[in-house]
Amino acid sequence: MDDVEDFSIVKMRKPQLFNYLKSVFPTKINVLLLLFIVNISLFSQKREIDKKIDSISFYLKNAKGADKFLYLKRAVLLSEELKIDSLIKHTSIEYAKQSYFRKDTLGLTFSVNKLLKHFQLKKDSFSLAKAYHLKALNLKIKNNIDSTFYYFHKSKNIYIDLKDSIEIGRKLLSMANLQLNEKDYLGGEITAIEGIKYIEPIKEYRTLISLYQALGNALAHTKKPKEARVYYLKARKINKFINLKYYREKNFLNLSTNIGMTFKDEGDFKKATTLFKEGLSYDSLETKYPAQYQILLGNLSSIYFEQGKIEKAIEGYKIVLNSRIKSKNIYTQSVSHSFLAEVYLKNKNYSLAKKHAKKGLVLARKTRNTKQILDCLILLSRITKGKIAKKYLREYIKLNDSLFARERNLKNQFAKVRYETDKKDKENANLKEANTKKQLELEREQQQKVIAWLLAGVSFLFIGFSANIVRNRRKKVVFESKMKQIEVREKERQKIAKSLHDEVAGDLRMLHLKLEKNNQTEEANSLDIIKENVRNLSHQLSSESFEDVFFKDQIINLISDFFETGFRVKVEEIDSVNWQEINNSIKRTLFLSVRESIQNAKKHGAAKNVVLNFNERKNIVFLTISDNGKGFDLSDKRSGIGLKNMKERIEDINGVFSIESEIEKGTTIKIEIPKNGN
Amino acid sequence: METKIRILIADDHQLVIQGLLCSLKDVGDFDIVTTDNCDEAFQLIKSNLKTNPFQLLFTDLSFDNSTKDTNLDGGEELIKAIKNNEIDIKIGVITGHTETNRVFNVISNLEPNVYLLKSKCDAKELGFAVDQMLLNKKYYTHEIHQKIMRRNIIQIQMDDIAIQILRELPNHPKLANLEGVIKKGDGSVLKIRSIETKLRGLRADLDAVNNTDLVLKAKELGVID
Repeated sequence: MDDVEDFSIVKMRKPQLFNYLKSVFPTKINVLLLLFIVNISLFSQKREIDKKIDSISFYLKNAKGADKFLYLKRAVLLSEELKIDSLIKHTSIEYAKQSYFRKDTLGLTFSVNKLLKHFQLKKDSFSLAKAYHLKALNLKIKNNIDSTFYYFHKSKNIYIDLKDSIEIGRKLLSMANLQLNEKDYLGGEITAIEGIKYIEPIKEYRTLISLYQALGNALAHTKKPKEARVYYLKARKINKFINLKYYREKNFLNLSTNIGMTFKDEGDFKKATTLFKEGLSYDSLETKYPAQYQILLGNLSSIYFEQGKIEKAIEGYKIVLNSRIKSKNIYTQSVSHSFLAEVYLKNKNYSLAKKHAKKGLVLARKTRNTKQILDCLILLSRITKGKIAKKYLREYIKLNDSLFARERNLKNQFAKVRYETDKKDKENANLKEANTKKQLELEREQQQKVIAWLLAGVSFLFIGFSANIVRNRRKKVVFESKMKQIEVREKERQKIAKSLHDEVAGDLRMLHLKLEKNNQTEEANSLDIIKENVRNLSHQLSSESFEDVFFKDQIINLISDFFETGFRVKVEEIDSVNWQEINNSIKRTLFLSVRESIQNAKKHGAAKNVVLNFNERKNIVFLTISDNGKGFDLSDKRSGIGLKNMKERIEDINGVFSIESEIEKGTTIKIEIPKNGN
Repeated sequence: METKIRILIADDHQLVIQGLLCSLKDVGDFDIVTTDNCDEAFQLIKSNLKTNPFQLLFTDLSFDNSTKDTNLDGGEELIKAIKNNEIDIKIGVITGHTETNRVFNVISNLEPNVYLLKSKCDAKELGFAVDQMLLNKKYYTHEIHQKIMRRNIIQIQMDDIAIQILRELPNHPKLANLEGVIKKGDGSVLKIRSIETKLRGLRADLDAVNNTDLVLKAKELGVID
């Protein structure tokens, strides 16, 4: 959308707009007609979405000339029907553009609503910025200047967030022009400079030229013609980059006017005249660029007037007025009238002066051009005499005062908008800071909480841990003492075994020899059996050294001792346990248990097979001894001192002993011993 | 002058020593020294080593007369001391200990040339033992031999790979074919080299002259069904 052109302070576009407006149908009828057509078209095309999209692109493409507005609205409604958001956005913006050119506030409001809806749906900041922009335009049509400024400002701020420098610059340009229109030259200057800052680096020449012009205008109005000229010249310098000939030439003419005016303000009429004449010598200027032609000629006439060439001035003004009447620009016509009035006054032609002043006043009132009204009033007060003059003067003073108040008010408003947003920004920053502070505090609090919990947890764990350590240590101590106990017991056992073997067996042997000598063979034989028994007992009691020999070998040796045809001991998974890291007491206990169990199975159970199954899991050594013997009744109290001893021995080192047996079904003994006493 | 073979006998029971001396007299003409404790036995062996060394030692395993001051507490200790000092003397064990555990430990760790049992020993066996010792050969009395054999059987039965080899051996005319058939507990394949080493061990354990003999013996002894 091209508001660069629309808000350009150079007033030449106005007549075009007026012409445009006149050619447009009354809005209401237009909309009704549209709805009707759209309804019909919707009805017939309901099923074919593709067709609709085609129609949209058709409408967009063919939106030219008189049908432009109509087609665009159709496109908007169609895309809405299709619920394609991007299309709604696109068509809405196009439609809004045309609505603005037609000063159709309804159309603009319609588009604004569409865009706001789109923003709410998609969180697309671009549509929000555009919506604000359109709202500003709408308000501008309604002549609500301060709100217009406000919405331009808002739109600009969103574009700042979006980092869209071109749009930021354009909005700032619009704002600057608004300010200049309302005679807030200082504010306009500041805004224009800000806009230049955004546009200069990206070399968007059209906007940049307009910004330079705006800045120049601001400076020219504050009586700084020399400085103003610098910017006009800058603008003229980059004007060559404008591709469209129409714009390029128009800009050139406008800038020539502007530069000429700076010379005029400096009193350099010669240079100003040269420039104006140069502009006016442009080929078929009046037909091509009537507004530029009128201004140039008007300005040239004003120089004649200043130089006292009254006749020439009158002639020029008259041509300008006629040209303006031809291009139906009431606004500028009133300007021309007031100029003529002033010239005639100077020429003391009071009746003509009065006529033009009055005409100018009427036209100025029509176009609500207050500055012009004031000019005409003061002229009239000077032309007329007595009461009437007083009346004009009073009116002038009244209007001037109100105008002054309005100006000041607007200036304040502009400043306020800027200040408020700045303040808001600051407040936001403050708020943000406060929020972050709060957040930090909250976080810190939370952290402290977490730390407290962690500390609690850690200390809890620590207590648990230490309790566990204490318990474990106690267990270990108990375990160790038990181990020692077992060792002592073992030593005792060994001693007994030794004395049995060496003393009892030795004595028996001597006795045996003696009996044999005396030929008491029978006694000798029975003594031999006793001797053998004693020896076996001794062997059983004697402890095996578990330090030098591998446990596996020991088990093999043990089984070998029971070797007999028809009795088989099978060992399973003995290698699944790492016996080297297992305490000797445990090994001894297991060994004795195995021996006891095999003995029982063989002797009492008459078993043919015994299976030893070893296993290690989670620091526990498992041993299962099962036989296929006769089994026995567990409830029988006489179930043997051997089993009782075995159980005691295992429980001494915190193991678990369990036995299952059924008559005729064999016996299964299960032993679990923790590796480190726990 | 013909030097007699010097024999040292260590036993804490005088009766046993007497019996041995008696029996050895029938075997041949030896220069025999006796002692009732291991410390003295080791001392005698060492002191005579340079001048007039003993060729043979007969010792019991358990000595009943050991006190707090006794250094070598039993036959095993004595034999260990001799082995540690690398003294060249042939060792025979004459004892009453028939528990496989002790027998196995002594034989596999101390490797005496001879293991005899007091109860079953007579002059004839003693003479044979002496001959074997002088030839640096091994002789274990029948009962001990049986025990060792049994033990080997048990050990082989517990050895999954050995059982696999013994079972598969008759099915493969060529030994090389066994490779890939024998698998370890973790599923990996046993290399032919390892199979050969294993077979060598098995043959020694079961007194087999070749692989065929080994399988037959294994079946006979009930190692495999």
